[in-house]
Amino acid sequence: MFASRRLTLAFSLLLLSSGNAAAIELLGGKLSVNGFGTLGAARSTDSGAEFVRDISQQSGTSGGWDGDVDSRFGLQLRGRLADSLDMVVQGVSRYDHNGSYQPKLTWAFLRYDPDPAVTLRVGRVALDTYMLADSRDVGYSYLWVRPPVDYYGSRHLSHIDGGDVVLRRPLGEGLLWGKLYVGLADEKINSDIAGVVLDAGGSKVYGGHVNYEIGRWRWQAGAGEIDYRLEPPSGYLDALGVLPPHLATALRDAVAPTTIQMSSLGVAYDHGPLQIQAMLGQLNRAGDDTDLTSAFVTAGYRLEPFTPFVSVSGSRTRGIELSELGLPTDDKAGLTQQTLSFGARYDVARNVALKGQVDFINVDQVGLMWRNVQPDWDQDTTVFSLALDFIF
Amino acid sequence: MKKYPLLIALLALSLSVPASLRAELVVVAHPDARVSQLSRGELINIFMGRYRKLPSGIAATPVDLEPLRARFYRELVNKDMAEISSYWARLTFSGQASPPVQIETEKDLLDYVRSNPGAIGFVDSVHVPDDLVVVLSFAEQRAP
Repeated sequence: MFASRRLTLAFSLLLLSSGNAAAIELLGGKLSVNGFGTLGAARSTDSGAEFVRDISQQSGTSGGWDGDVDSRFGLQLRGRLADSLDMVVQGVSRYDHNGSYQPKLTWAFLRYDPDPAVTLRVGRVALDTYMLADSRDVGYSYLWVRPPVDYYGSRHLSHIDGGDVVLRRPLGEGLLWGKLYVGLADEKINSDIAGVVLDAGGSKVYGGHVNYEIGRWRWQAGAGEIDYRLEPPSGYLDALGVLPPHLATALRDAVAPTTIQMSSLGVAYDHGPLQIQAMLGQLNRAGDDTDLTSAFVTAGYRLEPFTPFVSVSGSRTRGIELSELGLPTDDKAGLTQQTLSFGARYDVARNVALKGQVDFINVDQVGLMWRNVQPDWDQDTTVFSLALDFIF
Repeated sequence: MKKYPLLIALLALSLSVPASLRAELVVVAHPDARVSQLSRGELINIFMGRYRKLPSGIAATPVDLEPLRARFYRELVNKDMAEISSYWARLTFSGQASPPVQIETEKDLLDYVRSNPGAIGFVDSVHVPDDLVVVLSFAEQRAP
């Protein structure tokens, strides 16, 4: 399975690199096709738990090389319908909650720019509550092999069916712009409760962010809400009957309708070869011990054609005492872990980048970010990653 | 050596200035755009897809001239082409904005600017025709 998937990806890459590495234009420039992809291999040093990139993935790497964590391929079709009206359709194939690479329609929207200061999008649009969240599949657009897992790993919603509006105006020497979005989610997550897949489809999502860009700086503050509706598979709630009552209640609560508040602050500094990004985010659920705070700082310095970088990230929850759920352990369930990463990006050729990265991860509370956790896991893991990113 | 001081001085001068830097890059617009000057900040907003509106209120359409692209972006934002494509990969694949129109030859670029009042392009200063307006010259500007 693994080999044949990689072969298909490698073959597509070969086809692409033989042609001109620019957009394929059809119908006299009215329609263009672009694509992106990553061939990745990651290896953790620990067989005690499987490392995944985000909570949508079924399984990950534990002690062996794994091509599924980071590999992905996307294709975008863009059509110019009129002077200020565009159509964008994008599909992405990546390892998912079922362990398959079934392509998903990630965007399909009409973009209308009645004026350079206003952009309206209607349809299936990208959800960017957090800075850069809407381009996290596009490895070529960033320095890391994958965006910091502590920060982006638990934010699985990539798109909403609805719309958004962007308003821009110059302010002082800089540019002030903001976005408002509203829509319904349409995604599934792997809960790690005995492999149960939860359907978040139909959850209402709304929010916005304000940005100020001036010279070398870009600031963003965002806030939003998800009215979470998680649909467990049929039989899930009945099956909980056999568990200890406290545990059954906790697992029932985990899929009960709830509202999650999201907020974030981001700053990016870009000065010639130096780039620094820092973000702070919060996910809150009323009356819950799993409010999540996460943050990261990444700094890279370009020494053409190499860009070495260092990144520090972490996430914190207060955690749930497992003993309160009737389990014989002093551990807490939550998502508290920290990562120190070193790596480099090498721009090998036009539109192709090669990357290497090492992550030193230390876990205090095991949450949804690990798969098949063994009781004797020491909660420290090192992950080595290689990736080849391309666009066309 | 004493015999040809002037000749040697001229030779030394011509060697010390690479050919690519002798001509300067200028940014041109259509007279109907009613813009006589653009700041570096305004030009960054237009070419990097942040805010494509000219001070006169007209929508701006940036145009890249392929042979001078690397030099232009080095002057504008002090970045190499890999960084510029990486930047556009983010904006394109998140469906936010589209990169500038790509044009291969100077003649085609000048024709494009002549027929599109909002078009903004860059050319070598020695090739600026009389019917277009120079809105920015990189001659005495330092990269940020």
